[in-house]
Amino acid sequence: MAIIVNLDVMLAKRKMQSKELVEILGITPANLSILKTGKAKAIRFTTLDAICEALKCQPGDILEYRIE
Amino acid sequence: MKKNTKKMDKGMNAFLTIYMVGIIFAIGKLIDYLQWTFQLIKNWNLPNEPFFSKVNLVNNTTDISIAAYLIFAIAYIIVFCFIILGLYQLNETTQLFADKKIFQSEISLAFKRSGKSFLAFAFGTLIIDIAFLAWASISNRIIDLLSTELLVFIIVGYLMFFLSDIFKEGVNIKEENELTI
Repeated sequence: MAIIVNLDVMLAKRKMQSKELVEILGITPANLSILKTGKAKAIRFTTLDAICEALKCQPGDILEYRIE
Repeated sequence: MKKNTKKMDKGMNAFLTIYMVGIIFAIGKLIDYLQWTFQLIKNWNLPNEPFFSKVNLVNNTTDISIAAYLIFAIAYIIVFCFIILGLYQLNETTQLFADKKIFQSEISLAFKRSGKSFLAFAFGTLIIDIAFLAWASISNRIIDLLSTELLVFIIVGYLMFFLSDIFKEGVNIKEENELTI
C-alpha cells in the first residue's frame, strides 16, 4: 500500500511512548502495532481524530502518500 | 443483542432439523438399496420390489442379466453415498455455527465440498440411469429421467456453491474489519 503511517516519528517528536498512546486511544497494543507497521487496511476517522488530539498534530503528519 | 442471538439460535435449530431429516431420509433409502442388493445376491434372482432406477421397465422385452442388475445396483449405492458425504460436510458447518465461528474459511470449504457431493449424486444417478436405459434397450426419453429428486439435488448443490462464495466474501470482509483500527 502507498499510504505510510508515520506514528513512530510523531511519537518521537512528542516524546511519548506507545504504551501511553494506547491508554489515551483506548485501543490494544496489538492494534497500535498493526497501525505502526502499515498492516492496517483502514483507519476510522474517530481513531485518527483521537491520535491527532493526543499528539497535537494534523492528519498529514501521521499519514503520508508515497508513490511506489 | 439478546434478540439477535435468539433469532440466530432459532435459525440454527431449523438448520439442524432439516439436516436431521435429510440424514434420516438418506439412511432409510440407503438401507432399502442395500436390502434389495443383498436379496439379489442371496437368491440370485430379482427381488419382488422394483429396481430403484427411474427407467420404466414395465413393457421391457429385453432380458437383463442378474449380474448387470448387480453392477447397476452397486453403482447406485456408491453414488448414493455422496449424499451421506454431502450431509457429513454440512454437519461440520453446523458444529462451527454452534461454536459461533461463523466467518471461517472452513465453513466456505465445507459448503463447497457438500455442493460437489450433491452434484456428484445428481449427475451420477442420471448417468447410471442413462447407462441402464441403453443397456436395457428401452425406448424411454432421457428427459423422463429428470425426476424432482434429481432437480432438487442439482439446485441444492449449486446453492451450496453460492453459500460457499458468500461465506468466503464474509471471511474477507471480517479480515478487513479486523485490520481497521
